[in-house]
Amino acid sequence: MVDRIGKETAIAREAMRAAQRMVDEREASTRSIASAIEGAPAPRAADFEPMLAAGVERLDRQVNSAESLPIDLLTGKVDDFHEIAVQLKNAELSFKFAMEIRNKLIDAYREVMRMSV
Amino acid sequence: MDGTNGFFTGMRICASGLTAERERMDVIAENLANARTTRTPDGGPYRRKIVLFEPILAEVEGEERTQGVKATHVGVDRVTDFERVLDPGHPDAGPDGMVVYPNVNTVMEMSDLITAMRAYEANLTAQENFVRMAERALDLLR
Repeated sequence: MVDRIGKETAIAREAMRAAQRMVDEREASTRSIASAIEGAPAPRAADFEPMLAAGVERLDRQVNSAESLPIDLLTGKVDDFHEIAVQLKNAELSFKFAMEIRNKLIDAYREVMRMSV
Repeated sequence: MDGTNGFFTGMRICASGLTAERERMDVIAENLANARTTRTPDGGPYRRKIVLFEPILAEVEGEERTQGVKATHVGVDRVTDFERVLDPGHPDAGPDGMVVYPNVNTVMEMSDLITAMRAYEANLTAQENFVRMAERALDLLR
């Protein structure tokens, strides 16, 4: 009986480790995508929180730069409407991309939290 | 060069096409507006202007590549003859009573305008497709 419980805990531990590996892999892949967005070097720490914070900060920068574009048009810094439209669309797509990555990260986190031990 | 530049290259190329076609339309509009201009600072009637396009050269990974189009020069049509109309009462009429009007053919300019508009629309359609492609690719993440 004791043997059996020991065996089961070992299996559970193994499963936990596998899940951790999966999360790590997922984080690594999302990180490479996230760094592709900005061209910034991939953050080295695998910590969830700083990564999320960095992502939010990046989003903030993008949205801020997108916000100034219509003002540039109105103040005559940019001549073409389509130039603004294209840049806004680029910002929007980057934003959506980042949001999807954020959702993936949170999903992965929830998945781990939901795991019964 | 940041990572998404590669992805947005197509969109930038389309945007350059849009800008170039817009500039071409500007020049056509100028031709149309000056179709009856008989005096210019250079003397003589207005001459038809033609916009010249050139590819944009960009250095990608150490090699030169063309990335989009740019309206670089506005040339002047010196080949087409001016239109000569007999109108002795016109202040700019010559001693023979002939007025020299610009070498702008309004019908031709209008057809050029249509071509420029269609080219602009083609660039816009390509642009829309790039956006749609990106959005479809983002759906993969859902």
